[in-house]
Amino acid sequence: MVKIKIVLITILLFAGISYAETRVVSLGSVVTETLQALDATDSLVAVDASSELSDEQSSLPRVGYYRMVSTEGVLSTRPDLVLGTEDAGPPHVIKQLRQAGVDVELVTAEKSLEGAVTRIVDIGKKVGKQEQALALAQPLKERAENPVEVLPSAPKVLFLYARGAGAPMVSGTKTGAAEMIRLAGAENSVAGFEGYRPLTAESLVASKPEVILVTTNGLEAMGGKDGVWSLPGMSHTPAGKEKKIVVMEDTFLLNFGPRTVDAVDQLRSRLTE
Amino acid sequence: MRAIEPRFPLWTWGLPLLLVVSWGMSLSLGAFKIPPLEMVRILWEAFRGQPGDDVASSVLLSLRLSRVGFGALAGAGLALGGVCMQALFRNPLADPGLMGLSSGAALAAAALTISAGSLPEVMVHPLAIPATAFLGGLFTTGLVYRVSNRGGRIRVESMLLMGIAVNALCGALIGVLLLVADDAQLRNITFWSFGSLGRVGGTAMAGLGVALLPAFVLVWMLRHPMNLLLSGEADAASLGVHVERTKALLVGCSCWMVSLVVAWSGLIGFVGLVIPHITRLIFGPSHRTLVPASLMLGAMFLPLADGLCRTVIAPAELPIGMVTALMGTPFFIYLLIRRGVRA
Repeated sequence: MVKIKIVLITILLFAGISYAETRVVSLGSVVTETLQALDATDSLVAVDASSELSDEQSSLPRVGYYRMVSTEGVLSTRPDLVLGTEDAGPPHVIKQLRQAGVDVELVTAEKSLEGAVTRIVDIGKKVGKQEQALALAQPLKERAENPVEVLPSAPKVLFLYARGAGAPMVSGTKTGAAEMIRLAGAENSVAGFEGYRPLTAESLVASKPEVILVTTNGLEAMGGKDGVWSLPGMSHTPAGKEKKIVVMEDTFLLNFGPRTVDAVDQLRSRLTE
Repeated sequence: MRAIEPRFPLWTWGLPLLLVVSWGMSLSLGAFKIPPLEMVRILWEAFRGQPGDDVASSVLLSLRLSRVGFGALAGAGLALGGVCMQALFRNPLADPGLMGLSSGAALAAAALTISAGSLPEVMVHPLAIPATAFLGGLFTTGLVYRVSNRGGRIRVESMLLMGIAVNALCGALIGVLLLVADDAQLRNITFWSFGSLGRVGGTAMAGLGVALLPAFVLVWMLRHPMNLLLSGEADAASLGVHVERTKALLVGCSCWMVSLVVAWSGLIGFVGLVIPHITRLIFGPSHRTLVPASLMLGAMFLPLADGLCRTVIAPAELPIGMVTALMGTPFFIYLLIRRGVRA
């Protein structure tokens, strides 16, 4: 009898192991956010430093900044699947992970509604939730096909970002922030360059922003709203005079994930307040 | 002195022993837990030519082993580069960075990173960054050397000043490049300059070993001239040293070793300064012990520091240049204070 029990338990144990879900490491907060929206986070065993986790999962190991993970660090979490955006890396680590037999799937990193749709659908396919993913991407697809009209006032918006105290950066064209401003029907007050550049007092005044857009973390790094208003040159801008600022949570504003349509609508309504 | 020295002094057997122990320790450090017995098994299987195909085997054999190997080569190369420079400048605070080597390599790597998009595909080959950084290091050191070489005589003071000038110029040019770089390039440049031992695979490491070994041997052969140089160039010349030839060889060796290492690893600070210095404190100033002992201490220190990088914030990883600078800078300050007290 005891023997039979042992055999049964052994069989059950092995069955449990073979049915155990694949172990997934997510590299990129947008990937983690998408997995959460797809209710596919049970298989997560580690995430990158930028991912935001629910309270129950907040103890998951962090493998570092997703562009600079280490092969051994990722392997130490014994993943079957590493799911990240194309920005995840560095490239030699991705190569080494694949050589070690890990399935590495990198989805597009494009910061646009179209990119978000592709990303969500591809992630859904990889975790076996195609239908949910299609449903999740549907509003984004519709918005991409029917963008909102340009706001009648078309306010000029300046996106400011800072990682540490001092030296804030401004967003030029072709950034996630610039795309969000465009999607919300407003105008980016800086058009002279691509990507981010350090803020200078003169270019700030010259760009004549009517609204300042910042993220929660960015605002904190710049010393709160007072810090923003005391930036050199700020008091000579329309936004500085009227103290018009919109603060949105970092990943909500810039992730281009499942919540992006909401983020666009929220940005639009707050710009017209 | 010679008569009372034992036939096999401490360093001839103690350091090799410690070296093997430290490599073993470094191999066992890392985010991926591999018990010691398991480690022995994997190594034994690989030794017998039947490496296992489990994850632990591939972590140990294809990741850690090459990092320990490259770390040992790089540590030895940087330490000996420091020994050469300190003998050349007759100053224990000299460092290969003084001759503009690291900044030249960093500038070349940054320039390539930024122009990579507009270059033909050959140029963005994985070897492109190391090769360019290597040439950049050789070029700036060559420049410093040329300018301070007047009529076949190298003037050490003008070499030092020229090195400072070249460093400042490279720093400024890197600043310009950072200004025009986009986000991704900025990140790549920063990551490169932090340094890592993880970028080198088995083949590249073998090549590096082949390229570095002759330089190690040459430095060992220069031990007597280096000792005599310590008492000044005029005295050394009167004792039969080819002073100018020795100086040229020292610059050449140091530049060759450090450029090769930095090209693959990125910037790893303070090993070239601190390791020879510690060695001198323990074993005395004679290059007969200083050369082999620095080589071994360097080959010991860097793999261990890298082991720390892999474990401290596991499963994330610290850049090696940061760890060596964090460990090296306090020591450097201590040295400066001690020198001040003595004076």
